[in-house]
Amino acid sequence: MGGGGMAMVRRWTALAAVAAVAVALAQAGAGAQAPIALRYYYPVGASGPLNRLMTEMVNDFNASHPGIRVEPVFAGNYVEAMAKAMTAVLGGTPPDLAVLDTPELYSLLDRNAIIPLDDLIAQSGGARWLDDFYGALLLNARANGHVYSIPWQRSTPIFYYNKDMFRKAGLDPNRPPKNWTELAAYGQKLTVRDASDRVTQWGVEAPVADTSPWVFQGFLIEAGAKYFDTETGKWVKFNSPEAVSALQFILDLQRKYKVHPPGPTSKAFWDQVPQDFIQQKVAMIYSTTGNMTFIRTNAKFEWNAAFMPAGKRYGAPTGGGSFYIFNKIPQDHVQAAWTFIRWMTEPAQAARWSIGSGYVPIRKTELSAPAFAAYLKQVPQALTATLQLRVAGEQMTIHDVDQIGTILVTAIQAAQSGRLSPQAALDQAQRDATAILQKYQ
Amino acid sequence: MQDQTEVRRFVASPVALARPAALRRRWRVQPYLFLLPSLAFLATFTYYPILSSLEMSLYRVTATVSHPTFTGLRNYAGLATDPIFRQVLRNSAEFLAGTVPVTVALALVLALLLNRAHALTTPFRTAFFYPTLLPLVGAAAIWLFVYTPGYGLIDVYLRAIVGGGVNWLGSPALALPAVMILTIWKNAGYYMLFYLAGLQTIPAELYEAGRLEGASGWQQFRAITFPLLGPTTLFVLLIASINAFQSVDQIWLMTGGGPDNTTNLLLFYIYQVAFMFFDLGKAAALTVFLLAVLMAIAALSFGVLERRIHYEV
Repeated sequence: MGGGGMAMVRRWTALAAVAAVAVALAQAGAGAQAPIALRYYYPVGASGPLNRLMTEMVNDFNASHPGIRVEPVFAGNYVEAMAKAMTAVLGGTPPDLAVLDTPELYSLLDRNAIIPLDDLIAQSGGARWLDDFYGALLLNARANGHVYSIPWQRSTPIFYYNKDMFRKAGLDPNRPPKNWTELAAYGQKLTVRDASDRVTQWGVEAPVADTSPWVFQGFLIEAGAKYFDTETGKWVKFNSPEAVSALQFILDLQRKYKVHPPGPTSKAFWDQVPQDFIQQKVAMIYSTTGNMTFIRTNAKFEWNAAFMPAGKRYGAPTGGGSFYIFNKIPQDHVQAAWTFIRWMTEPAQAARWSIGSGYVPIRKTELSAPAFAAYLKQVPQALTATLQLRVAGEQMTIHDVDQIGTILVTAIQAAQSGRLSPQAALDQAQRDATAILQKYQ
Repeated sequence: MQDQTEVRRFVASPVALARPAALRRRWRVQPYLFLLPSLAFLATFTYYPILSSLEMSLYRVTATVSHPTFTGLRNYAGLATDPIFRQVLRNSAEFLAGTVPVTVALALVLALLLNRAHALTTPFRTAFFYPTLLPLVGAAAIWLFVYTPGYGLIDVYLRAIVGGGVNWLGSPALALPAVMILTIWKNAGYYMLFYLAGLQTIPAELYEAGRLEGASGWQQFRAITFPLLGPTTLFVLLIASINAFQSVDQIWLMTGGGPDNTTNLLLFYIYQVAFMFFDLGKAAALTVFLLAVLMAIAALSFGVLERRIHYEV
């Protein structure tokens, strides 16, 4: 046993020596400095194994940047991620950077939570670098003449339709409805009723209000409604004639043409719509580009994607999350966070995320990244979403956006249930929203 | 007894002999030391948050206001004029009235049916208890599918009877009942367990005597079973009422409070106001209100109802 003890001591000595050498080497490799540790919050707002892909990408970044160590924190969906980030900010321990729902811009600014990125953008080539991002995606990154976020996982609602059903109904499968009138007419041909007048196949489903009025904003833009203050986020105009006509059109689809399931579009409806589509219970749907992968892998029929049919004009809101850098973090953390954002949004990396998730490409050069070109050959429909970005409008980005969004959702549902007329519902929403925005005037 | 122990320790320990006063003091501290862990947890996660909510409810605190300003009872006054709060109260009352009596009655019936041992008792007990084992979030996700119009379980079976296409979670009239049905399904088995335990404590002689007197099954239930289950019923009613006011998971997952705020319940509204709208002062006032409701339920149960309940045979 005594001999064993001695051997043990010798082995420990050897181990210690090896460890010392290893530590020395590691330090030399890292420039004799501990890497900057960045706390990075990210949400996952779409289906699919996106958690794993995000972890892979962060690991690749950490491996190629020895001076920086990004520590990703999965923060739930967008609402939860925002709540986590804000709680951390209020507690005085903000994360270094986060991907948050882009329209939270004013909410973050009102809490003095984020920093403008102009100087960092200037370091990276300024306007030339920024102009490679799609303009529509930057619309709600700007406030007070500054850029506050860099697009990341961006989406837009898009119009999916079942080509087989078009053929059966005698419609040209390569000609989706171009405008609201055609949509109603197509809907009537595509709505199928059985002998006892029960609907077995709906013409169209649009989740205009689930817990956010996102898809409805597409209809507002198409109706030509100027429904919020795009400059300073201080007012909304929900009850303009254009806005009322958009809501009236939704009700017409439900009640007059009877081509859309009746009643309020609820939270559950949001998830039900793509399910209904792959189950062939509906011919045309509005859903996020983020569901394209789901539809592609599950649809047992020929389908296509198209622009949301136009009202007075084509239009769709953008959606999804962008990178924000937080206020009150050390300067070297700001630089490191920027290095991470630049790396993540490089065309090759951004393409990796778009392909893995179904989010739209964020940069023009991303389209020519080899991986994305190959992906487009396989899924040509993915290009439609990118093209629609050219006609996309700004997603409502105002102060207290979550509260006012909820008010608009309630108004839409009140009109759909018949409790209020479209005009009365939107008047009510306008009054409630104005009362909330009062404090920013 | 305690004194004897002390005496023995005095003799055994020279240190104790030298400092008897100190030891005696330590002896009295001991019970508090045992209480300390739970006290620490209660203080951290219950008492402090309650006091802090009380304080915050008197201030205007939103994430945009850097320095909270004292506003007295203005947050409470704001609640009185908030139409959504009024609707939330109506919804919560409806939810309470719709879930508690049905769940408790169902639990009692299940317990009575499954109290006597026969071949199928165990499988049935397991079947009725199993919803309790599921996390509520998982159960709500399943019921989301059950309620799907067109091909959801309920729609498929109801189609033959009333015609399909009922949009349970999308209809302002049906959304809250739909959530209630899930809640009843989820909780009945759990309360059944309390009743089963209660039934075991009723002496068999009482039923024997009842039978000898020629009492029918219903008479036995009315005169023996139900009165003797009084404490259990009180307890289950209390738990069920508190649960009703604490329901939030299923709302969050299934309806988001909609459509048109018809399923917005008190706790979900607090979540909305606090973590989506970041109006922390108003959320604190709502929390104090919820707390008052829960305490009132507890006081009512233990104060008023208790007097009418038989505890002794």
